[in-house]
Amino acid sequence: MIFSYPPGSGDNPFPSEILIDSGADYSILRYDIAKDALGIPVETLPKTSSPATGISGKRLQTVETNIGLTIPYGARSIENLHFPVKIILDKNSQPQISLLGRVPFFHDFRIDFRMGYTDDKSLGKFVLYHEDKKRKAVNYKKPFDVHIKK
Amino acid sequence: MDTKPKVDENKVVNDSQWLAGQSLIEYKGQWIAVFNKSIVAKDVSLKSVMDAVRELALSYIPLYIRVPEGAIIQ
Repeated sequence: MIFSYPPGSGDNPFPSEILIDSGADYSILRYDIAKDALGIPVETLPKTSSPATGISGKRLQTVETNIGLTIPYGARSIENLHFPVKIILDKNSQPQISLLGRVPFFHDFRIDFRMGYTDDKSLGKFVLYHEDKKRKAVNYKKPFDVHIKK
Repeated sequence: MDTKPKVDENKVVNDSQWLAGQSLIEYKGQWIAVFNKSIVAKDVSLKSVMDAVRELALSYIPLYIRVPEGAIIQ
């Protein structure tokens, strides 16, 4: 991945990694990448109305901004997405690696982890492609109805 | 003329693939900079690694990776 800021400018390009996390609602950019690598004025960004909550249950104050994101892969590169991220303000509560969550990435791309193609179980293939076969929303059903008795 | 080093996307992919085959145990909890299939700087602070890279005056921007020090879940 190549992060940049402001999005669309190509300024401050920073090649690094991000962990695809289907369990995360939103993407989280590490504070040090935001401030030291991309030069984002983190302290001046407005705080989000609701704090982030990880699986530990700890509530963490965040700010939100957009960055540029390029996924390099030769002719199949995905160039300069404008990408919303949250930044956790507590420097002692940073994720080990920046996280790529569902919104909006999983809405726009189909993400496959293809394993078991060879005898070597450690080998697999990661495939990413634009989601262009969306069904109509009316064709989706919730998995079950929830009835709450008063 | 802009003399700032730029990103070479092919090098990023090559260095990333090279890194996947390396043992990084000794770098746990640190940021590393990878340039041309070699680790050229390391520190717990990203800023320190970026400063060290600046001193090296490399021809393109290296790949920066933070090596997790334990479970990734928070």
